[in-house]
Amino acid sequence: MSFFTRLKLALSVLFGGELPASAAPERALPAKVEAPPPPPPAPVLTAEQQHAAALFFLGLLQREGRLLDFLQEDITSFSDGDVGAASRVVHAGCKKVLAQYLALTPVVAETEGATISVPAGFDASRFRLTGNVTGQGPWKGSLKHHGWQASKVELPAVPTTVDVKVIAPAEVELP
Amino acid sequence: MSATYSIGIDLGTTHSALSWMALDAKEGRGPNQAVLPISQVTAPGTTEERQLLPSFLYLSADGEFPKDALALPWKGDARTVVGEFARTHGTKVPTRQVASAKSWLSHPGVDRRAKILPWQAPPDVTKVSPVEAGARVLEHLAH
Repeated sequence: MSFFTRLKLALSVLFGGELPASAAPERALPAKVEAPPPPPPAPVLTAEQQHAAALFFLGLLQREGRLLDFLQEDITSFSDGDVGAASRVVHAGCKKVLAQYLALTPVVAETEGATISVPAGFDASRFRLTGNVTGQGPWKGSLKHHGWQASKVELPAVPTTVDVKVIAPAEVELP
Repeated sequence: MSATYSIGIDLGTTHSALSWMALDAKEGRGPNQAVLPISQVTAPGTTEERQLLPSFLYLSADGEFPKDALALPWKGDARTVVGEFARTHGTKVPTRQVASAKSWLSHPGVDRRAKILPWQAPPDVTKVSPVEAGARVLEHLAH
């Protein structure tokens, strides 16, 4: 059968429900194919369930890098030295999480400040033009930020047996 | 049925690992040999694959974690856990953590089948013997 015959056959089966006699296959099909049951209505998810992965990832950054403790602290009263020392802990822990679960690479390899060309019809999710945006391209411009992309995402499955709203449990040491 | 692969088990004092190679491979190193990632609980509710399985056993208290939070795909609601979470959480609750069980196996002054671990466990902990602790790690590796 040619491609177009197959296509016609597929469409006729899809919309007509019966095979044309001329194209009856060698093996008989069941007389009537039960229509699949309609999919169950999508469960209504709460905001926490919908964004469970985000809360879970925040939990990883908190567990390894104390990120929430740092961000939720009022740091205005601390000296730059104290903030700097604390940020080293946060930096090391959060970086460990990123390295473990993601591969992050710049969108473009050129260094910042370099002149790069952006082709006409560029991928607008990969490039953002600023400044004198006019004409149809290609353009030449100075790279202000090389961008980031995740070339690998291997996060663990979001837990279903613990409450995802609890980003970090309270810890109580018993004497 | 003849075997196709050979699997190596390293039951270590602090970490254990699995490695495999195809038996028809001529060279036992390089591309023919690889480490098998090991699924384990890394946090309550989270199971991840890691290259190493910490050889630690944690004997949790009743209600210490949410129901099924220590469950593994092959093992439902579990009170005891082997691996990464047993190691990290056990450092905060040393009286319920069995560590370095292997070193007790050959200790001259210890009956390796006596239920003595964790060494400093409170009375409500069901202690295990060094042999049982090692067996629990091997049992985990077998899955």
